[in-house]
Amino acid sequence: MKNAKNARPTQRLSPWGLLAFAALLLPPLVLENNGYLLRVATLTLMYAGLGGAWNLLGGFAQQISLGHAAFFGLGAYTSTILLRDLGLSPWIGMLVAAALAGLASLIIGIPTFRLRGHYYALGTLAFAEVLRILFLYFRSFTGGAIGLSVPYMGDSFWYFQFYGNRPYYVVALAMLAVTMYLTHRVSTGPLGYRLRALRNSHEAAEVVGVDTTRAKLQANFLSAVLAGAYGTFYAQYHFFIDPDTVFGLMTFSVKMALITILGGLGNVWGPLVGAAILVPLDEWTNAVFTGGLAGASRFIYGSLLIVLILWQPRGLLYWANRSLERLRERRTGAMGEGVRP
Amino acid sequence: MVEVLEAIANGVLVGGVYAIISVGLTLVYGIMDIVNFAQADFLMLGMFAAYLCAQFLGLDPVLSSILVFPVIFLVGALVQRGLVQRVQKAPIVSQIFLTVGLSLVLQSLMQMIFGANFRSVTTSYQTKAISVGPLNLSVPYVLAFLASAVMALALWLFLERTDLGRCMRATAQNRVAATLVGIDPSKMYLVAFGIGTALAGMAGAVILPYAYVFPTVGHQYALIMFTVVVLGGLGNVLGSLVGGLLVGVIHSVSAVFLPTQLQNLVVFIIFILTLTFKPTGLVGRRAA
Amino acid sequence: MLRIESIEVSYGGNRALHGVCLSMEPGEFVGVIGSNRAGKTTLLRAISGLVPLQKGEIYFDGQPLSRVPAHRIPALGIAHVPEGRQVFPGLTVEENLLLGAIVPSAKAHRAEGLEMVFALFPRLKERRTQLAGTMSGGEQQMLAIGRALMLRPRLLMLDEPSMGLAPIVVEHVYEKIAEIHRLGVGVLLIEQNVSLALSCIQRGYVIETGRVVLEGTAEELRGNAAVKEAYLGL
Repeated sequence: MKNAKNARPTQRLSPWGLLAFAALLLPPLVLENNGYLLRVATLTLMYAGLGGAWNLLGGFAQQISLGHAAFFGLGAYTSTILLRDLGLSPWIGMLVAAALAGLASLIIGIPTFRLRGHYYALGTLAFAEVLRILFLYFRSFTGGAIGLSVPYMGDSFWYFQFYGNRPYYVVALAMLAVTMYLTHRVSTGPLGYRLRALRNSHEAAEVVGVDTTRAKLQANFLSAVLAGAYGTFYAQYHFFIDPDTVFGLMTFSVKMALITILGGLGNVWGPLVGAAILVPLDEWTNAVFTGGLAGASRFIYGSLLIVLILWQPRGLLYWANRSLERLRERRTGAMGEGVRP
Repeated sequence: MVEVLEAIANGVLVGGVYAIISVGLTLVYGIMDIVNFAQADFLMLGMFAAYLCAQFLGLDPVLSSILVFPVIFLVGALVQRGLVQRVQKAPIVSQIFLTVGLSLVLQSLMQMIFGANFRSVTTSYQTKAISVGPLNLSVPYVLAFLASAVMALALWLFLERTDLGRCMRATAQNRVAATLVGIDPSKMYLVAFGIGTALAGMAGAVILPYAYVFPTVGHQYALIMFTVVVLGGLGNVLGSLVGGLLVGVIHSVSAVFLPTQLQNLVVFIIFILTLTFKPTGLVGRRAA
Repeated sequence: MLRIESIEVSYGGNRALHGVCLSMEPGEFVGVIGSNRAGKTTLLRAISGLVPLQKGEIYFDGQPLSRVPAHRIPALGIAHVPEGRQVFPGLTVEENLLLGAIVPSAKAHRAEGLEMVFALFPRLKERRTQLAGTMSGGEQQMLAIGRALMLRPRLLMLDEPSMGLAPIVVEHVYEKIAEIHRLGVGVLLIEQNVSLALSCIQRGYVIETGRVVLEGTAEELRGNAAVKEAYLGL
């Protein structure tokens, strides 16, 4: 048998990956600053990052959280309320938001860490729902169902508010770089090894000495910190938040997961690929189907999810890799016969 | 005091309905080990079916629930064969997101057909109430409860007294042994999913006299359902019947002491506490 | 009646059976013996259709079984009492037995079947309304056999019926198995306790690491030096 240490992927970043990522610097150079396309591109990066955050636990360990909107919403409200009440810069607010989300993940972790499979999904779902209800209820503090507008401070770096999309795009890209680097490190490091071990079987992982609870809490913590920071970004970019949206199951919790599954669960690049397809599709359907057909975009969304699960549950990247391999095999011809396991 | 008593009585009345919409979830989980995240949307389909019966045939929703059952059973059976069966052996992530996707599809489909507005039916007994001692009970709630009780009884008889029911319980307890006596598990999956979704649909019909129907009405019930089944022990039919009543009473009584917006909060906190301390349920061990 | 032609079966990525051949006449009492993990259980699972065949074929009354789904095997007259008994714990004794005769051909004779099983195992009659899961191991084993008999099988396959039972209970169970055989039912027995198996079977196969290494009448096997050394501790 191969030594498990040797089998672990390299920690080094691949030059091709860096090059592909560098290509993401192009859109703000070629697209119009106030244009719709750059807006979609910015949202794509944000959702790719959210998917990346979800991927840490949902992808590597396949512990399915249906409540990640809890961390996202918490982040969005934290920085916005700090800005509203204390005039605190959202940059600092983002740090507080991330810290609070991380803390929340530990609090949520206590009751849910023992849960597996469907039970875990149900538990996390309930947590986001509890937060949604609380934020709806404490109106004087959160604005309730009416929502909260981010105080307008003009075009100011300090207040994380810009005219046009370009600065937002750059911020989103930087955040995505951090997210992807982090997921890459986790994936290739010991935590990734532990998460993959417990994905197959908690019992087997424990037998080889993995502290499954700790691994899950660590991954969930990182994941929540990122999601919280993205919450701040969303609030600053969107200028408006309300509990039903930012704590919503379909709006964020499921979308993060869908993006990741579409690209490839447990693949560092998966969420970016997934977001690059889903976010433009989402924007397009929302724009095309209005009025009586308002349900159509959600219909496409749901159908896509179903088709994906049935046809390619391991995501498009896995499928693309397999297709490439098969193509190469065919090209090497008869000589390669019998190599397939 | 009367207020609390009335709340308890009303809780029992709604709780009966909760029990029926949730029992399908537990039935399916018990046999297939799959949580159907779209269960609440079959309730919505049932409401729409009964709404159409009322609009075009002039049928009372409580009566038309008898028609709704086979219709939703068929829909559920088709969904099971076409979709759910295919992830029976797939990883949990596929099982969860298949039914989540299904939920989205059902909601949006109905939204495209009927629009997002709230609809309701009018009945002669809509505003009537009956007095039981010091309590005033609303007739639509009483009717819904009675219909739910009949459904629960019918389900119990089916599971306990018929061969098919016995086969289903046997499959839930030991799939391999069931196969070895000649039971086709995939047929049991079909029946369980059909009955589970049809009961939710039927319950949807009987609550129509007091509830609005719209494409996303399931959201209100989804987490209540999950609470009920977890309280009763996922996979435990009797447990979910008891759990339904319990959740109904808790829900209703908490409205006496707390603002209505926080009614659900109490239920969800109980849900999380149950998951934390007794994920196998309060009512009993897992046994279908 | 039963003819197994060089079947190969893989189980969890490992080859569990390599070209096993076996045959059995109606009403015969055949044993398959061998150590733990030799592939005996997999053999029965293959006959019942619970694991697919990689190669070879299994014939029952001349009919190939490899394409028959597992849940249709009982209707052919093959009953399988799996390892560890596997009764339905939350169902009563009577419900367990009724489920044994769930296939149409057996359903018609349910009442007689119950009578026959109760005559064979009076203890089950006493406990008919008790939940199966609350009974002792020996009683559950009797129930599992009784449930299989409800099918009125022509081939009864028993997987380690002595497992986990006290010696006196084992003796009782084996008396009943002998009685069932005398009723004309073909019995295919898997047993780790070789001396026990050799005391009741007519013919036997010795399986080691997925291969038949020896076959013969019970007498021949008892006299075989290798069997004596490896399994009987003589």
